[in-house]
Parts: sequence; C-alpha cells; structure tokens
Amino acid sequence: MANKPSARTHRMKPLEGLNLTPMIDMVTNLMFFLMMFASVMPVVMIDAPLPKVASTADEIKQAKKDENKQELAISINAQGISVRGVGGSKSFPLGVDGKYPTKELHAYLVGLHTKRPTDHEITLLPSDEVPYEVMISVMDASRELESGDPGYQAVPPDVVHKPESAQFNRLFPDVSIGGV
Amino acid sequence: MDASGSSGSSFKGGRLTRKLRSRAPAGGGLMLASMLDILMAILFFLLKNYSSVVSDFAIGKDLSLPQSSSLIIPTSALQLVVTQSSIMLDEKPIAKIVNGDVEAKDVQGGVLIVPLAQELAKQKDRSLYFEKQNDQHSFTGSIVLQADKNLKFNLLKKVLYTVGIKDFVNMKLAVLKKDG
Repeated sequence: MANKPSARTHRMKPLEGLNLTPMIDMVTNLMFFLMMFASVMPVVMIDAPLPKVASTADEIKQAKKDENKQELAISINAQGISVRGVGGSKSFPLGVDGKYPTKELHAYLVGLHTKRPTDHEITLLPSDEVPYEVMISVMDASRELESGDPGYQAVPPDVVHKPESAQFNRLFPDVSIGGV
Repeated sequence: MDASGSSGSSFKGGRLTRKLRSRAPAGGGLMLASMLDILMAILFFLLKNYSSVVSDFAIGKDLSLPQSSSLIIPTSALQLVVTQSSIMLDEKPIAKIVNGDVEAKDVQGGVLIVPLAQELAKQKDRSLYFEKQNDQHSFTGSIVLQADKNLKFNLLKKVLYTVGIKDFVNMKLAVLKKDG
C-alpha cells in the first residue's frame, strides 16, 4: 500500500519578484491598436476658397469692385513662373534641371511684401499643363516668411509646428485659384 | 580549527541549509524588465503623437497626395477624391478619367462635369433639408479636395468650376505634411 505523499515535499514555492507577463500582454495589445489606427502620413489642409458665382445685384456690384482691385497674380506655365502686380512683372524661367524656381519666387515675394506689408492675397493662374504638385509648391513658397527672411519673427516654442504658428510671418497666405 | 584560527566551516551552514541552497533556481527565467522598458517607451511615444493625428481622415485609394508645409488640421467635410482613373464623392464613383481627362460624354460646355454637378446638387439639397429641420445644422459649402499630385490643371479646373458653380466654395486641399 502506497503512502500518501508528504505535504511538506509539495509545498508551493513563493514567487520571486513581480510577474510582468500580464503587463507586457496589455502593453503589446495597446501598441498594436495605436499603431494600427495612427496615421503614418499625417494629412494637413490648405485653404483655397473658390470665388462665388455672383447672382444678386449686390454680389455683381461687389464682383466688379473686386475686378478693379489690383491684386498680385502668379502665372504658372510650361516655361516657368511669372508674377504680375502693382510693382510690375517678373518672370522666373524653369531651372536647368526642369524644376520650377520656387526659391527665387519666394525671395521676390518677400521683397514685394516689405513694400506692401498689409497685402496677403494672391491669385494663382496655372495653365492647363501644370501639375497639381507644382501649384501646391507655389502656394508653399508664397505662404509665409522663412527663417532668414527680412522681417521674420521667431515663433514662440510652444506654438512651433502647430496651426497657431500661421499667424506669425504671414506672406501671402490668402490664395485663390484663378483661370477656372 | 585550521591554521588561521577560524573554524572554516562556520559559513557553510548545516545540512538543511546546504540542501535548500542546492534547490535554488540557477537562471531565474527570462529578464522581462528591460523589454518592458522598451515597450513602455514606444507606448508613451505613440500616445503622445496620437492626440495630434486625426484618425477619421481617410486618404483615398490609388492616390498620391502632394506634400506641403501647411499646418492646418483636417476638418470633416464632404470628400471629393480625384485620382488618375476616377472622380469620387464620399467614396461613391462619379466619373471615369481617361488619358488624364474626364470622358467627353460627361462634360458640358467644356468645363462642367455633369455627373459631379448632379451629385453635388443632391448633397446640397440634403444639407439644406437638414438646415430647415435643425437650426444648428447649416450649409457651409465646405468640401475637401484630395487630388493626385500628377494631375494636370486641365482636369482640375473642370472639377473646381463644377464645385464652385454648385456653391461648395469653402474648399480645402488635402495634402501630406512635409517633414521638417
């Protein structure tokens, strides 16, 4: 007849330290969901209000008034970029690499802005063959002053890379797309 | 006693102590603490960035958005997606694009995309209906354009004209945030 095993020999050993396995499970699950739902390529917006079709008498009157207003117009075509405004016009032909000269355009617009600091509106006039990507790069070049430009203000650290920073260093951020 | 004068065996313990020591685990299992540190660091990084990412903004399929330095956060609005092959309004296919342009049968007067105009009119009527039912809901004419970066202005001007003529004038262009 077999004897009953002694309880002392089967005594459970006390656990040494914390058991981290459930915590690692939880953290791994959280990470999985965060990585799945977080966008890898963050999307931002550019305001590009379209001109409203004038239908009432007041709207037509206002439209005629706006037509007479001298605005800065940037034409983009296969040859390059040209700027037309009160101060005359200037052309920027394509670079030798076939790229649009957005840096030169930006420098010229900075010069115009120092003469007319209250103006913030431009009209974009692309020709039919211009790619959408080029339109966006021209909008970027004309939106705000960059570090090193005359009149550039240092953005407070708490608003750097945030939408609030758009109120600083405004160049010509109010873009309307013409030729439509 | 040995030559140094000490007992020599005083730290070896008795028979029971030696037995217990021999039973002590040698390795102690996996060291999970450092792995947990790494996971927690990644988790905090993801949680910090998660608040600035809008997860409900879906980028259309077969679409390569241009990059921009803009910092405006995306807002929810009617989504107009223009890819190299089709035009979609809130994920509903509207018109096909062949050789970089809308099919001739869908265009009226050279600039108006008829199926898009009809669908926008429906959306506007729906918004105006809700505006009548609920004072808080009003038609703002907001629309977000997601367009492929390689599309030519020849096609985009038709899209912009059609959108503008149907009073969706509060247009925002969806772009990818440029690094740095």
